[in-house]
Amino acid sequence: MQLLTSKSAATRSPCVHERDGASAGASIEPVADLSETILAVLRPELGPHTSAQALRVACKKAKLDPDRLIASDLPALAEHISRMCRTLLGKRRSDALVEQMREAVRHDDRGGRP
Amino acid sequence: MRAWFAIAGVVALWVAGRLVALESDALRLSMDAVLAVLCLVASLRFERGDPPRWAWGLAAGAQILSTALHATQAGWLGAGAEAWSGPITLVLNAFWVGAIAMFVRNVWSSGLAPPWSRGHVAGVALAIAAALAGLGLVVSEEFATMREQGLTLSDEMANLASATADTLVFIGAVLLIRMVAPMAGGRVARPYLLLCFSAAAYLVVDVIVAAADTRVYAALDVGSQVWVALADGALAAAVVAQLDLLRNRD
Repeated sequence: MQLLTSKSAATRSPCVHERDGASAGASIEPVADLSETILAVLRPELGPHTSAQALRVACKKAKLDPDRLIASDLPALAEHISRMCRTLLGKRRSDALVEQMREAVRHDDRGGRP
Repeated sequence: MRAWFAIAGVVALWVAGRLVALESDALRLSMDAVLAVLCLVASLRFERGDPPRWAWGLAAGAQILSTALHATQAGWLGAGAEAWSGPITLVLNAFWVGAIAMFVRNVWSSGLAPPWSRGHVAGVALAIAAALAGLGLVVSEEFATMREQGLTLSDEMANLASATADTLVFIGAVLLIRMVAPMAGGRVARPYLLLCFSAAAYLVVDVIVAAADTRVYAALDVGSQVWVALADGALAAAVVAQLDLLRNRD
């Protein structure tokens, strides 16, 4: 995780439903850390270092700030991550990983932890 | 940790089986055939269009040809089949070079390969230089043998082709190790690292055989058989690790 940005985990922005400033005065409800959710799925397969790199590359390709990810960023990120993993894991396993990410985010939305 | 114990178990089982099979063509050929089937299963577990399918497919093709080569050498395919051993050796080695090249390309094209620092370039260059030095030793020894024993060039071509291919595979393995090293700790690195160990072990076999003096050849031959067993064991373990990686854990 520390490889994702230079910031410590304590100062990272949590995953939020609305991006900052998207609606003035709207509450920004933190539901979970999307980065951490994605990394938790990727880590057993790619290892800690490459998982962080995969997320960083996916954020770059999707033109997203890794520190300010929101739940609705998942489809774009998942598409890029799936494409990267496919050359190593094949389509079936990559799709399964993406589904695991979606499931984990859905779980977070219900207020639970993955 | 449990996975590594399982992998060590596969390697140990394979090494023991291979050494027991030294005197038995049937047992040795069975183990070659099992490796071919394992590689084929790994290939077919991927969907059409998945890049690793082709790499494992080429590995399976190489193992099938290796089985055919050993059947030829054991005389199972008739006396006339011996003439095919040279071409089979060439093609099977080309398949292995193609397989390792595809594995390298797959990791590279994933976009997850790490950047290269000067230190990494120097380290890889050193390993490649050592491999080429090993190949040089093999080539010079093969030509010396040819001169001393009056063998024809074609007799030694298969050995030279095999040593050259093993060197190319080893160079591919060195590149793979560099690219896969940051993935250590993840399941995806296991098959690649085991493949690399297998490639290195085969290069050791080439050097041992080439360097063997006739007086100590018997002792070195046993040593080379241990390395062949380790190489095959690592390949079997790589396939097991690949199949484990593809197992859906949902």
